[in-house]
Amino acid sequence: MIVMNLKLNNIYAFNNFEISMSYPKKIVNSNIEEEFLYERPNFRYKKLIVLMGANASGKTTLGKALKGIFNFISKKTPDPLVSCINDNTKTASFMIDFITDTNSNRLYRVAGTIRPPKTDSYKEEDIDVAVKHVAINKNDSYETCISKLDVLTDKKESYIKALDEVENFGWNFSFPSQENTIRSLKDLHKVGFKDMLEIILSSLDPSVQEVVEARDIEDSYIIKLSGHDLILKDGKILNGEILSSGTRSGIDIAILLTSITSRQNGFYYCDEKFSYIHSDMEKEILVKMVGKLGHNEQLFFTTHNSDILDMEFPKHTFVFLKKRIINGRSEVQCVYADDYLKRNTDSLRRAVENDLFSIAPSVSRIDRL
Amino acid sequence: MNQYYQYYVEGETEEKILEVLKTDFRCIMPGKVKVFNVIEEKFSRSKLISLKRKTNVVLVFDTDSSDSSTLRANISFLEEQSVVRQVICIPQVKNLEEELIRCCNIRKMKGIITPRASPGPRRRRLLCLSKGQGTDTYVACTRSGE
Repeated sequence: MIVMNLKLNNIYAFNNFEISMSYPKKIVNSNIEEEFLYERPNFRYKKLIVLMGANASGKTTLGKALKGIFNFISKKTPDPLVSCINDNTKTASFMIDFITDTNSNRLYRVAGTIRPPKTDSYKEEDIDVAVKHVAINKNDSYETCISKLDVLTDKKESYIKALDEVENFGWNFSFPSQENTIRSLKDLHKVGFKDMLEIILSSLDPSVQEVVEARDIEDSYIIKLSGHDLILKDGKILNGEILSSGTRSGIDIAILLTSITSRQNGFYYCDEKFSYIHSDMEKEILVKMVGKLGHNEQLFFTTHNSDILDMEFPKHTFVFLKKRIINGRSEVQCVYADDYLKRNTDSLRRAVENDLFSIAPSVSRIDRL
Repeated sequence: MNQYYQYYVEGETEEKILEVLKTDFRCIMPGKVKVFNVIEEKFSRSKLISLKRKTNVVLVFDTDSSDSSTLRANISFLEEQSVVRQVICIPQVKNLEEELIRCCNIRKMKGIITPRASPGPRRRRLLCLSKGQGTDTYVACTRSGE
């Protein structure tokens, strides 16, 4: 699953928002291998998107908006989508260009308009959805494909029927809050979750000696520390208070990394999972995540850690979100690092430290305390 | 962009203007911007703790105040600090509104929001000087601020 472009209006704090995941030219000696669609070298997409920005700039809600749209497209129920609407007295809209999986080589465009409901809740007739898709030929780029999409006409049909045209696709969102507690670890167990968990937890905390599968409790693990045994069930540790915050967050990281390694989902959104984790560890795990991404997969990675800026990823990897309040209405804007820094020698970190992109939080009020 | 810059401006309007000049027009050296009135408030060491070593400090201030003693004290104080590489002063004549009228081809402030207002050579000179590339000392000066 690859998202190529997303437009949002009246979804969370996003108004007239657009983010693009294509990049203009091939990068020589890039540290991200095969950053293009499988067997379609001209179809360049960003395999890794490092999203940065001040607090409340929209990093998490962008993930939630994508999650809502994916669920809407996949389940064909309006609830996941309409729960993202900011002002339900006004029309909301989205438009997403994406590719579903390795074999299809098909670019989809789903555009949705959600009108204010006439009754208390949204009904099918309040939602218009147009689905278009084109085959991606051997030499096509994203730009040539969207020009083909643009000339297709919209069909008038219900969103349920329209969305039937879209192939299945997977996703994996990992948010810092507890809302995304894991369904079952069974699937992950088959693809090496236990070993991954042991490596991650023992790297974060040397007192973690071993992780073993619990025999008596289904779908659970025992984390063995010197003198203590902890039980991990449903992605949560029982009596986990003796672990540090960082070690506990290692569980979600192990889950996500196992999913990436085993190519379970294809699309990954890792939202600030490293707030409690040492910077070196974050960088190392990010490298591993990117290295394990397969063909036609994509990773969104949000962080506040400025050490990530020093990593030798292509500049187009870095996208900054900036929120402004204009006439009482919030507008989130994307700032692409490669729009500003064209030379290889340009330092991204120095640009951010000098706030070239005007993304630094306004600290003047704190200063006045 | 190999050096660090820190701008101190009088109000949020100047903050916004610097943001536009820095990011949208890319015509001044990029640096972080803080609202701090250098004409009325004095710098202390604690204010400079978050600065990186050898930061160029740029003071943007109005000149419509008759009392420049605090400004002078601030400049002297900043020049003594090892964390500060140099102090650059950008005085506005007399304040932001007057400065905009002066450096643009307009007669009244409201002209700046009409389509007829076009940046004239003086405005371009102001931007150029702010970037530290000009030889004219018409608007910007370094260190002393005099």
